[in-house]
Amino acid sequence: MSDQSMQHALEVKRRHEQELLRKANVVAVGIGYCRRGGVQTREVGIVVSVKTKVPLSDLKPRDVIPAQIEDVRVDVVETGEIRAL
Amino acid sequence: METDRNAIALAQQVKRQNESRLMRMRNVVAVGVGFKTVGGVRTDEVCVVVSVVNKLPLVQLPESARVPGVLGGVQTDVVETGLIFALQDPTEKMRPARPGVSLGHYQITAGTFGCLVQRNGQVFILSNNHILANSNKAQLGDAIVQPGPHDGGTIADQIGTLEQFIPVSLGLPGCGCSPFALLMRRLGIAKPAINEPGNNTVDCAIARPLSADLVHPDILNIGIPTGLGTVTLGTPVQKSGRTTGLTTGEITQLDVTVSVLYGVQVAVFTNQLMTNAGSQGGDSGSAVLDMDRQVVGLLFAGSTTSTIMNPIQFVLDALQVQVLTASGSEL
Repeated sequence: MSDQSMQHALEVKRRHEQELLRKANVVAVGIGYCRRGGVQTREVGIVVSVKTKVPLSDLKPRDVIPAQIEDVRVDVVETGEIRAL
Repeated sequence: METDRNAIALAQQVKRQNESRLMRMRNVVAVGVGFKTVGGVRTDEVCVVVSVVNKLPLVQLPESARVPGVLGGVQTDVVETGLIFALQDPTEKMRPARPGVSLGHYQITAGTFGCLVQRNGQVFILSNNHILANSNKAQLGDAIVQPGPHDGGTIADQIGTLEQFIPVSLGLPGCGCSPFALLMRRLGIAKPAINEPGNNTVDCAIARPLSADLVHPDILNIGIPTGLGTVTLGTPVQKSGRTTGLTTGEITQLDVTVSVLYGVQVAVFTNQLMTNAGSQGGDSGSAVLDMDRQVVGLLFAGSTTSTIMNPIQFVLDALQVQVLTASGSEL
């Protein structure tokens, strides 16, 4: 992980987080390592946390989370609802 | 091995002959038989191990407090363990109360005593607004009880009073920002509030202990904080909380913008940290530390798979306090 790739991911995330947070099911947007095939890689990307993962066919087009934004990878993780504990 | 058994027997004999004298020395908390560690490496030499609250340079110790290097032909080893406490249930009443235990405003369920902080020499209990200030609804001076009400705490268990809280702005962005306020801010006349709708950074509050001897800085299962740490992706972290006790994990996300449910209302937080260290209801208010016991965050929210914390510097800046550390506190 280079500081540069982290910084770039941060900038892209800040530009797009409002539109991501407006999509159905999204509870959080952050910066993290992306997974491929369930295995964590060293690639820094935008991580979108959702209440539940939904099949693409059940989502309205505007609620679909893109796999990549600008040139930064986007990973979707299922966290459930986030509550004050 | 036979030689080991002999060496152990000899060390035990020497230990028994000397232990009452050693236990009377300042700083000594335990005496036992173990392997000697030299330069951080464990050797095979059996010795008398003396545990002390903290290691001090010889020059700072009077003759009477110096542990001899050799006793009756057996080597000694001095190790720093800190104070040793009876293991305690974090949901029970504890005096002095230590971070990691249950507490809360008298009208809530229960949360966690995060750590001790100080301002101008006055020590305060740090936790969340929603634990100490009942999610903005409390009055300054309200009773804080330990354990929290859900764990049986009543006014008879009062440990302190609410001193200060940073209100959490519930609701979505765009509320409460009049054109006038925006203009004032753009002109630099009004500073932005710490927590704005859609842009909260902290859920924090402090309570003033009724007296200084009711609290102790040693976090259950972790120890006294050594300072402040910085984190990046993958940094290992730990917390000690009222419900799940000591849990460890790593930083999984940085710069997190997150919608957090407070009952039925939503508060959006920005610039938060996410970890996979486990937590559940009641753990709110726990301090999150790195493995060098440096405080990195204040836990306040989570789901079944993730835990969210405020970066500790935001909390300290908002409340104008400093974390009480081992070097700064009286032992």
